[in-house]
Amino acid sequence: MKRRTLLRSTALSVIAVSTAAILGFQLKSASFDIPKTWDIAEITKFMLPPTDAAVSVTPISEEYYYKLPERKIFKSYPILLTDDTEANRKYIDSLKSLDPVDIFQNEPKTEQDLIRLGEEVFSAPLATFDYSDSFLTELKASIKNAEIPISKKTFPYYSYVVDEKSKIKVGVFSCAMCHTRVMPDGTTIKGAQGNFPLDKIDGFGAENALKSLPKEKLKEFDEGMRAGRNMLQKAPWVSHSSQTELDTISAARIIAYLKAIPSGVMIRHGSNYNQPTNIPDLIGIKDRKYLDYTGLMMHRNIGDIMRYAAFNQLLDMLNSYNGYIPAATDFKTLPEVGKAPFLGCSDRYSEMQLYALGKYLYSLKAPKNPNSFPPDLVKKGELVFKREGCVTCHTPPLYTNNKLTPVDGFTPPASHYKSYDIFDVSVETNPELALYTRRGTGYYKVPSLLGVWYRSPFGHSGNVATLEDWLDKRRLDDDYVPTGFKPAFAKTMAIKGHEFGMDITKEEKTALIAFLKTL
Amino acid sequence: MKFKLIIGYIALFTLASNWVFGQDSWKIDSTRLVFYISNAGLDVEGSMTGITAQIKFSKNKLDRSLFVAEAKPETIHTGIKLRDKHLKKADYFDIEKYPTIKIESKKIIQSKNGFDAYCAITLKGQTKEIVIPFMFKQTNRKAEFKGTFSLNRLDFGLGEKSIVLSDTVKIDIWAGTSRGTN
Repeated sequence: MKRRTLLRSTALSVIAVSTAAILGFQLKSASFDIPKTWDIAEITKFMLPPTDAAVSVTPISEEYYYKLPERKIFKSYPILLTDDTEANRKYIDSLKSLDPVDIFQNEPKTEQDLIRLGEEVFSAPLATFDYSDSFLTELKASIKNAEIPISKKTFPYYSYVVDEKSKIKVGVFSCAMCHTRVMPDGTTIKGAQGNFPLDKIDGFGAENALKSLPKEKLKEFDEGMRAGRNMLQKAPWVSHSSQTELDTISAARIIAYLKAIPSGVMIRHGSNYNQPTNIPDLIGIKDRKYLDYTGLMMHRNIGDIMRYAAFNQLLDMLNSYNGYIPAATDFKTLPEVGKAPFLGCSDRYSEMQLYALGKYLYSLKAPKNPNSFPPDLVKKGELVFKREGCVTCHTPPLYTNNKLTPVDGFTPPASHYKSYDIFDVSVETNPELALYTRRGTGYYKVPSLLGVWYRSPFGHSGNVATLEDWLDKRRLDDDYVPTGFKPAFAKTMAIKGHEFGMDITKEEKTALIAFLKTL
Repeated sequence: MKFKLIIGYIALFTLASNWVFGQDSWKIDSTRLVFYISNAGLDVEGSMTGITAQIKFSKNKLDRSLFVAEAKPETIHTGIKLRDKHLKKADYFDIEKYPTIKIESKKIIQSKNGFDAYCAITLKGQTKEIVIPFMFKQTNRKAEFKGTFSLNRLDFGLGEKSIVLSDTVKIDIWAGTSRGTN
């Protein structure tokens, strides 16, 4: 995985490809009414403010955004996981014979066209590196090291891309990389909570690099890793130790943090080592009113999905947080258009690409639920679900009331009650992600329980692996060993809060879990 | 002398009226307030404790009967700690601003099965008129008052319209009393 590691290092080391800036305009289509993505008035309404009211967030201007060059999205192809070297060679040769296909060369005409193209956008990598003969061998080693769940025949998190005749590239950092779930039986669910252990892979990659590093290069390596992580994670206005640690953190410590992140969880940029985010399930996103576990962005219409994708595929790295710009070399000077030294910050999706992506995400459906429980058990579980008051927040049919709950340590300002849907009680879970990170808003959104049967781990930072663990009262104890994400330097940790469904009989718990697994 | 006589009459009248009205005063020994609301088709039961009341009641002197009762929503209990915490917040009872629920009778009349108390209820700063049908059962110097009524929670700003939570809350009040004043 040297090449992939190199690629990742490239991102973290703040080197980006820049192309000539061209003027961009909102794409008009005769057939579709496509919202304008970078509409500052709409963006101002859709972004929730940081927990600290003294911090203001200023995204790049409309002028800057539309001057960024549009990305070209080329058709991507699956990576076959085969031990048959000859078969792989033939497959690669067949790809080499293909002409590059710009998937938006013909304007979509129907809703189905849009959905199909949106799926391609979903799978389109933000970055690529050249394919080599050793790629598959290195990939298999990485799968073993980082215990990457893999499907029966393919590696669904990356793809091959043909953007130049006779050349194969490996594409990474697509939406699909984090939002594809491989189930224990080897089937994949696109759009679900993904289980690609990105941070763990990074940790192993950096650890290998560190092992072979000459001593005199150690300081430089430390500084490089630290700078990268500061870009990704620093919220300089927060004085909590998890933030101040970033000022002096060593590469070795970063590696330990990265290796502690399990599948299904990630240190999303804007979150932090001990406050990672559970990867959200995108299936059913059409009915969610808030995006991100901290409800960072509102979802009022497809325009907001387009905005969310533009920001989070990494243009929020150019936001100014009271003058702090994460992706700026000096953390304060907005880079020249198209020359931002960070992945995803020197170009942008076209309006049509984002619209198609939104349509695809809206079209996502959960796969057929394979669970089968006795009807009486499910009925009993449903009664427990109602009796224990779960319905108040996890209200059918969406199994969420689509509201935000303030965390301990945050009092919503009066104006928030008019602007947002607030369920005004904290469920007393760990507030740190909502308080001490760039993604912090002072709230957690009430997650939907639809599809819990294919998801894991649970909680906003993915601290427990199963529903059984979530309902286990022992998780409230200080000597509990989290079954999901456990911070790197902690042996035990209480997973506090959301104490619902704990004081019920064993039989009721079995019934409740059976019911939940049917949703 | 005449002055003393007047004072004596006044004193006698006061004592007599106190004796007469005292006959109709009931001291609270214990109370129970239980409410029921349908949530997703299931009845959720909750309660409030520490009810205080002044009651003057005689079934023969309904025009002189009255009661004033107060409940403290901070005592709300539904069996789920976090739900109770939420119910005390601004979107429900807002106990910091409105610590007391008050019911005051304006008129009591005989009904087919007992009595109807026409009352003013003040809840979360809103005062509305309600009728509370109640039963009165006396055994020597003890008596029980038992009433049941319903409210639309939205009339008082208790939460918002919900697809699972009913608008209507049914309330049972019971008071065990004995002769005398609190």
